[in-house]
Amino acid sequence: MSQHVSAATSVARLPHPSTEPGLVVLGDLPQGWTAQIDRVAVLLGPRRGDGPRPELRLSVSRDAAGLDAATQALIGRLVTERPDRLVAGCDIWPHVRFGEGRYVQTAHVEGPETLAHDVYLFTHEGLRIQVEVDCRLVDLLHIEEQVASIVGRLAVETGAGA
Amino acid sequence: MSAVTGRATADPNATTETTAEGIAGVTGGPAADPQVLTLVERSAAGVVRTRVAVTAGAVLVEGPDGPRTEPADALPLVLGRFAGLRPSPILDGDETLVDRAVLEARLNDPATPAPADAPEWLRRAWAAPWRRWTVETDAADLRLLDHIDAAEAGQLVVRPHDATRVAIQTRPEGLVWGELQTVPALLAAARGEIDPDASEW
Repeated sequence: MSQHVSAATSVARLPHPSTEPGLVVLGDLPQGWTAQIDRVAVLLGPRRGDGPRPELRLSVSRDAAGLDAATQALIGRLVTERPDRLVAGCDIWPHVRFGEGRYVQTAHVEGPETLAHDVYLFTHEGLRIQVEVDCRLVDLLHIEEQVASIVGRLAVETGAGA
Repeated sequence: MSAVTGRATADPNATTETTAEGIAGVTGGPAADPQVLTLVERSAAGVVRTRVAVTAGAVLVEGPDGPRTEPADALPLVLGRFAGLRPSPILDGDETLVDRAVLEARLNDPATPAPADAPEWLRRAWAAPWRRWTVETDAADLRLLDHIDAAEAGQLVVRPHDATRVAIQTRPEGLVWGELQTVPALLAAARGEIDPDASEW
Protein backbone atom coordinates (compact mmCIF):
# COMPACT_ATOMS: atom_id res chain seq x y z
CA MET A 1 0.00 0.00 0.00
CA SER A 2 1.29 3.42 -0.86
CA GLN A 3 -0.09 6.77 0.17
CA HIS A 4 0.89 10.31 0.96
CA VAL A 5 1.42 10.92 4.64
CA SER A 6 -0.25 13.88 6.22
CA ALA A 7 -0.04 15.17 9.76
CA ALA A 8 0.43 12.53 12.46
CA THR A 9 -0.04 9.51 10.22
CA SER A 10 1.10 6.12 11.53
CA VAL A 11 4.14 4.84 9.73
CA ALA A 12 5.16 1.78 11.74
CA ARG A 13 3.51 -0.43 14.32
CA LEU A 14 4.10 -3.59 16.29
CA PRO A 15 2.33 -6.71 14.98
CA HIS A 16 -0.97 -6.06 16.80
CA PRO A 17 -2.18 -2.82 15.32
CA SER A 18 -4.99 -2.05 17.71
CA THR A 19 -3.18 -2.71 20.95
CA GLU A 20 0.51 -2.10 20.45
CA PRO A 21 2.50 1.12 20.13
CA GLY A 22 3.40 2.47 16.73
CA LEU A 23 5.27 5.38 15.23
CA VAL A 24 3.91 8.52 13.69
CA VAL A 25 5.55 11.34 11.80
CA LEU A 26 4.25 14.61 13.20
CA GLY A 27 3.42 16.97 10.37
CA ASP A 28 3.85 16.52 6.66
CA LEU A 29 6.61 14.59 4.97
CA PRO A 30 9.16 16.70 3.09
CA GLN A 31 8.49 17.46 -0.56
CA GLY A 32 8.80 14.40 -2.77
CA TRP A 33 8.51 11.80 -0.01
CA THR A 34 5.75 9.19 0.03
CA ALA A 35 4.95 6.32 2.37
CA GLN A 36 4.25 2.64 2.01
CA ILE A 37 2.62 1.56 5.21
CA ASP A 38 2.94 -1.96 6.46
CA ARG A 39 4.23 -3.69 9.58
CA VAL A 40 7.60 -2.21 8.74
CA ALA A 41 6.89 1.10 7.12
CA VAL A 42 8.80 2.33 4.13
CA LEU A 43 9.14 5.93 3.06
CA LEU A 44 10.45 6.69 -0.41
CA GLY A 45 12.33 9.89 -1.14
CA PRO A 46 12.66 11.94 -4.30
CA ARG A 47 14.59 10.42 -7.19
CA ARG A 48 17.78 12.12 -8.37
CA GLY A 49 18.80 11.55 -11.94
CA ASP A 50 18.36 7.96 -13.04
CA GLY A 51 19.05 6.49 -9.61
CA PRO A 52 16.62 4.63 -7.36
CA ARG A 53 14.49 6.47 -4.83
CA PRO A 54 16.06 6.70 -1.37
CA GLU A 55 14.33 4.37 1.05
CA LEU A 56 13.61 4.75 4.76
CA ARG A 57 12.46 1.71 6.72
CA LEU A 58 10.96 2.48 10.10
CA SER A 59 10.38 -0.15 12.74
CA VAL A 60 9.44 -0.34 16.39
CA SER A 61 10.01 -3.37 18.58
CA ARG A 62 10.20 -4.32 22.25
CA ASP A 63 13.59 -3.68 23.80
CA ALA A 64 14.99 -4.60 27.18
CA ALA A 65 18.70 -4.30 26.51
CA GLY A 66 19.11 -0.55 26.36
CA LEU A 67 20.74 1.76 23.85
CA ASP A 68 24.38 0.72 24.23
CA ALA A 69 23.66 -2.99 23.86
CA ALA A 70 21.30 -2.36 20.94
CA THR A 71 23.96 -0.23 19.25
CA GLN A 72 26.67 -2.86 19.65
CA ALA A 73 24.33 -5.52 18.32
CA LEU A 74 23.44 -3.32 15.37
CA ILE A 75 27.06 -2.61 14.43
CA GLY A 76 27.90 -6.28 14.80
CA ARG A 77 25.06 -7.21 12.46
CA LEU A 78 26.04 -4.58 9.91
CA VAL A 79 29.61 -5.86 9.75
CA THR A 80 28.54 -9.50 9.68
CA GLU A 81 26.16 -8.82 6.82
CA ARG A 82 28.90 -7.24 4.76
CA PRO A 83 32.49 -7.56 5.98
CA ASP A 84 33.56 -5.10 3.28
CA ARG A 85 31.23 -2.45 4.67
CA LEU A 86 32.81 0.72 6.06
CA VAL A 87 31.17 1.67 9.34
CA ALA A 88 32.18 5.30 9.11
CA GLY A 89 30.88 6.41 12.46
CA CYS A 90 28.41 6.10 15.29
CA ASP A 91 27.45 9.54 16.52
CA ILE A 92 25.09 10.72 19.22
CA TRP A 93 21.76 11.83 17.78
CA PRO A 94 19.57 13.66 20.31
CA HIS A 95 15.82 13.31 19.79
CA VAL A 96 13.32 15.65 21.38
CA ARG A 97 11.00 12.80 22.42
CA PHE A 98 13.23 9.71 22.59
CA GLY A 99 16.28 11.29 24.19
CA GLU A 100 19.83 10.44 23.19
CA GLY A 101 20.03 8.08 20.23
CA ARG A 102 22.65 6.89 17.82
CA TYR A 103 23.28 7.56 14.14
CA VAL A 104 25.34 4.83 12.48
CA GLN A 105 26.68 5.62 9.00
CA THR A 106 27.99 2.96 6.62
CA ALA A 107 28.88 2.54 2.97
CA HIS A 108 29.80 -0.33 0.69
CA VAL A 109 30.33 -1.12 -2.95
CA GLU A 110 27.73 -3.21 -4.70
CA GLY A 111 28.40 -3.86 -8.37
CA PRO A 112 29.12 -0.58 -10.13
CA GLU A 113 27.67 1.57 -7.34
CA THR A 114 28.57 2.76 -3.87
CA LEU A 115 25.65 2.54 -1.50
CA ALA A 116 24.94 4.12 1.86
CA HIS A 117 23.15 2.23 4.60
CA ASP A 118 22.60 4.41 7.67
CA VAL A 119 20.65 3.62 10.82
CA TYR A 120 19.09 5.91 13.42
CA LEU A 121 18.52 4.03 16.66
CA PHE A 122 16.63 4.96 19.82
CA THR A 123 15.40 3.15 22.88
CA HIS A 124 12.46 4.70 24.66
CA GLU A 125 10.11 3.36 27.35
CA GLY A 126 10.91 -0.26 26.58
CA LEU A 127 10.77 0.20 22.82
CA ARG A 128 13.49 0.06 20.21
CA ILE A 129 12.89 2.56 17.42
CA GLN A 130 14.93 2.17 14.27
CA VAL A 131 15.11 4.04 11.00
CA GLU A 132 17.21 2.50 8.24
CA VAL A 133 18.23 4.65 5.28
CA ASP A 134 19.26 3.11 1.95
CA CYS A 135 20.37 5.19 -1.00
CA ARG A 136 23.26 5.78 -3.34
CA LEU A 137 26.12 7.40 -1.45
CA VAL A 138 26.12 10.27 -3.94
CA ASP A 139 22.51 11.01 -2.96
CA LEU A 140 23.03 10.96 0.80
CA LEU A 141 24.00 14.60 1.35
CA HIS A 142 21.06 15.70 -0.79
CA ILE A 143 18.50 13.99 1.44
CA GLU A 144 20.31 14.35 4.76
CA GLU A 145 18.26 17.26 6.06
CA GLN A 146 14.98 15.75 4.89
CA VAL A 147 15.75 12.48 6.63
CA ALA A 148 16.76 14.29 9.80
CA SER A 149 13.50 16.21 9.64
CA ILE A 150 11.47 13.00 9.40
CA VAL A 151 13.41 11.26 12.18
CA GLY A 152 13.17 14.33 14.40
CA ARG A 153 9.39 14.39 14.07
CA LEU A 154 8.83 10.73 14.90
CA ALA A 155 6.67 10.05 17.94
CA VAL A 156 5.29 6.95 19.61
CA GLU A 157 1.60 6.38 19.11
CA THR A 158 0.17 4.36 21.96
CA GLY A 159 -2.07 1.47 20.92
CA ALA A 160 -5.74 1.71 21.70
CA GLY A 161 -5.64 -1.22 24.09
CA ALA A 162 -2.24 -0.51 25.58
CA MET B 1 54.48 1.37 -14.35
CA SER B 2 56.38 3.08 -11.58
CA ALA B 3 56.95 1.49 -8.24
CA VAL B 4 54.10 1.60 -5.81
CA THR B 5 54.55 3.68 -2.73
CA GLY B 6 56.23 1.91 0.15
CA ARG B 7 56.16 2.52 3.86
CA ALA B 8 59.16 4.45 5.13
CA THR B 9 60.60 3.11 8.34
CA ALA B 10 63.84 5.01 8.87
CA ASP B 11 63.67 8.46 7.38
CA PRO B 12 60.14 9.92 7.48
CA ASN B 13 60.90 11.97 4.40
CA ALA B 14 62.34 9.07 2.44
CA THR B 15 59.25 8.00 0.56
CA THR B 16 58.82 6.76 -2.94
CA GLU B 17 55.95 8.14 -4.92
CA THR B 18 53.81 6.85 -7.68
CA THR B 19 53.21 9.27 -10.48
CA ALA B 20 50.25 10.23 -12.59
CA GLU B 21 51.85 8.21 -15.38
CA GLY B 22 51.93 5.24 -13.03
CA ILE B 23 48.26 5.58 -12.32
CA ALA B 24 47.55 5.85 -16.02
CA GLY B 25 49.53 2.66 -16.41
CA VAL B 26 47.05 0.83 -14.21
CA THR B 27 44.52 1.10 -16.96
CA GLY B 28 47.04 0.52 -19.71
CA GLY B 29 46.86 4.04 -21.04
CA PRO B 30 46.30 7.65 -20.14
CA ALA B 31 43.09 8.24 -18.27
CA ALA B 32 40.73 10.81 -19.68
CA ASP B 33 41.81 13.97 -17.93
CA PRO B 34 41.97 12.45 -14.47
CA GLN B 35 42.11 14.51 -11.32
CA VAL B 36 44.79 13.18 -9.03
CA LEU B 37 44.77 13.27 -5.26
CA THR B 38 47.63 12.45 -2.97
CA LEU B 39 46.67 10.85 0.31
CA VAL B 40 49.45 11.25 2.85
CA GLU B 41 49.60 9.53 6.21
CA ARG B 42 52.29 10.46 8.70
CA SER B 43 53.02 8.74 11.96
CA ALA B 44 55.96 7.76 14.09
CA ALA B 45 56.47 4.89 11.63
CA GLY B 46 57.07 7.23 8.72
CA VAL B 47 55.24 8.65 5.74
CA VAL B 48 53.07 6.75 3.29
CA ARG B 49 51.67 8.30 0.13
CA THR B 50 48.82 6.90 -1.89
CA ARG B 51 47.84 8.28 -5.25
CA VAL B 52 44.23 8.38 -6.34
CA ALA B 53 43.14 9.25 -9.87
CA VAL B 54 39.51 10.21 -10.30
CA THR B 55 38.15 9.75 -13.81
CA ALA B 56 34.64 9.78 -15.16
CA GLY B 57 34.54 6.00 -15.14
CA ALA B 58 36.52 4.84 -12.14
CA VAL B 59 38.62 5.67 -9.13
CA LEU B 60 42.15 4.31 -9.53
CA VAL B 61 44.12 3.80 -6.35
CA GLU B 62 47.84 3.14 -6.02
CA GLY B 63 49.01 2.62 -2.48
CA PRO B 64 51.16 0.33 -0.37
CA ASP B 65 48.90 -2.61 -1.13
CA GLY B 66 49.21 -2.20 -4.88
CA PRO B 67 46.92 -0.79 -7.52
CA ARG B 68 43.19 -1.31 -7.52
CA THR B 69 40.14 0.09 -9.25
CA GLU B 70 36.94 1.23 -7.51
CA PRO B 71 33.63 2.45 -8.93
CA ALA B 72 33.54 6.07 -10.02
CA ASP B 73 31.31 7.08 -7.11
CA ALA B 74 33.45 5.34 -4.47
CA LEU B 75 35.86 8.21 -3.75
CA PRO B 76 34.37 9.04 -0.30
CA LEU B 77 34.53 5.35 0.61
CA VAL B 78 38.19 5.17 -0.47
CA LEU B 79 38.92 8.28 1.60
CA GLY B 80 36.94 6.95 4.57
CA ARG B 81 39.02 3.78 4.68
CA PHE B 82 42.20 5.84 4.32
CA ALA B 83 41.08 8.12 7.16
CA GLY B 84 40.51 5.14 9.41
CA LEU B 85 36.91 6.07 10.14
CA ARG B 86 35.31 3.76 12.69
CA PRO B 87 32.86 4.11 15.56
CA SER B 88 34.75 5.63 18.48
CA PRO B 89 33.75 7.14 21.80
CA ILE B 90 33.41 10.88 21.41
CA LEU B 91 35.75 12.79 23.69
CA ASP B 92 34.09 15.82 25.20
CA GLY B 93 36.25 18.91 25.12
CA ASP B 94 36.70 22.39 23.77
CA GLU B 95 39.13 23.50 21.11
CA THR B 96 42.60 23.82 22.61
CA LEU B 97 45.64 25.75 21.44
CA VAL B 98 48.92 23.84 21.15
CA ASP B 99 52.35 24.91 19.98
CA ARG B 100 53.00 23.74 16.45
CA ALA B 101 56.40 22.40 17.39
CA VAL B 102 54.96 20.36 20.25
CA LEU B 103 52.29 18.85 18.02
CA GLU B 104 54.84 17.98 15.36
CA ALA B 105 57.05 16.43 17.99
CA ARG B 106 54.14 14.33 19.29
CA LEU B 107 53.34 13.16 15.80
CA ASN B 108 56.89 11.94 15.28
CA ASP B 109 57.45 10.63 18.80
CA PRO B 110 54.54 9.25 20.87
CA ALA B 111 56.64 9.69 24.03
CA THR B 112 56.43 13.47 23.69
CA PRO B 113 54.61 14.64 26.82
CA ALA B 114 51.32 16.48 26.55
CA PRO B 115 51.41 20.20 27.35
CA ALA B 116 51.26 20.79 31.09
CA ASP B 117 47.99 22.69 30.78
CA ALA B 118 46.32 20.19 28.43
CA PRO B 119 42.69 19.44 29.33
CA GLU B 120 41.63 15.90 30.18
CA TRP B 121 40.25 15.13 26.72
CA LEU B 122 43.52 16.12 25.06
CA ARG B 123 45.53 14.04 27.52
CA ARG B 124 43.45 11.01 26.60
CA ALA B 125 43.84 11.71 22.90
CA TRP B 126 47.56 12.38 23.38
CA ALA B 127 48.00 8.91 24.86
CA ALA B 128 46.46 7.15 21.84
CA PRO B 129 48.38 6.19 18.69
CA TRP B 130 48.38 9.03 16.17
CA ARG B 131 48.29 9.05 12.41
CA ARG B 132 47.98 12.40 10.65
CA TRP B 133 46.22 12.10 7.33
CA THR B 134 45.86 14.67 4.62
CA VAL B 135 44.17 14.80 1.24
CA GLU B 136 45.87 17.02 -1.31
CA THR B 137 45.08 17.89 -4.90
CA ASP B 138 47.76 17.99 -7.54
CA ALA B 139 46.00 20.39 -9.86
CA ALA B 140 45.35 23.14 -7.36
CA ASP B 141 48.24 22.24 -5.06
CA LEU B 142 45.85 22.48 -2.14
CA ARG B 143 45.37 20.51 1.02
CA LEU B 144 41.68 19.69 1.15
CA LEU B 145 41.64 17.89 4.49
CA ASP B 146 44.02 17.66 7.44
CA HIS B 147 43.15 15.48 10.43
CA ILE B 148 44.63 13.15 12.99
CA ASP B 149 43.31 9.64 13.39
CA ALA B 150 43.83 9.09 17.11
CA ALA B 151 42.74 5.43 17.11
CA GLU B 152 40.39 4.75 20.03
CA ALA B 153 40.27 8.48 20.79
CA GLY B 154 38.65 9.17 17.41
CA GLN B 155 39.35 11.89 14.89
CA LEU B 156 40.99 15.23 15.67
CA VAL B 157 40.96 18.29 13.46
CA VAL B 158 43.85 20.75 13.50
CA ARG B 159 43.51 24.31 12.28
CA PRO B 160 46.08 27.09 12.01
CA HIS B 161 45.70 29.68 14.78
CA ASP B 162 48.70 31.96 14.64
CA ALA B 163 52.37 31.83 13.75
CA THR B 164 53.31 29.47 16.55
CA ARG B 165 50.12 27.68 17.58
CA VAL B 166 47.40 25.51 16.13
CA ALA B 167 43.92 24.83 17.43
CA ILE B 168 43.11 21.16 17.96
CA GLN B 169 39.66 19.72 18.58
CA THR B 170 37.87 16.41 18.54
CA ARG B 171 35.67 15.80 15.50
CA PRO B 172 32.89 13.21 15.43
CA GLU B 173 33.40 10.64 12.70
CA GLY B 174 30.04 11.51 11.22
CA LEU B 175 31.20 15.03 10.51
CA VAL B 176 34.43 13.79 8.96
CA TRP B 177 32.39 11.37 6.85
CA GLY B 178 30.27 14.31 5.70
CA GLU B 179 33.41 16.22 4.73
CA LEU B 180 34.67 13.29 2.69
CA GLN B 181 31.40 13.14 0.80
CA THR B 182 31.94 16.71 -0.35
CA VAL B 183 35.34 15.97 -1.92
CA PRO B 184 33.91 14.92 -5.30
CA ALA B 185 32.11 18.27 -5.51
CA LEU B 186 35.31 20.07 -4.56
CA LEU B 187 37.14 18.27 -7.34
CA ALA B 188 34.42 19.18 -9.77
CA ALA B 189 34.91 22.80 -8.78
CA ALA B 190 38.69 22.53 -8.87
CA ARG B 191 38.84 23.30 -12.53
CA GLY B 192 37.52 26.72 -11.64
CA GLU B 193 38.09 27.92 -8.15
CA ILE B 194 38.43 26.17 -4.80
CA ASP B 195 38.21 27.95 -1.53
CA PRO B 196 38.53 25.18 1.02
CA ASP B 197 39.15 26.28 4.57
CA ALA B 198 42.27 24.19 4.76
CA SER B 199 45.93 24.94 4.91
CA GLU B 200 49.20 23.90 6.43
CA TRP B 201 49.42 23.86 10.20
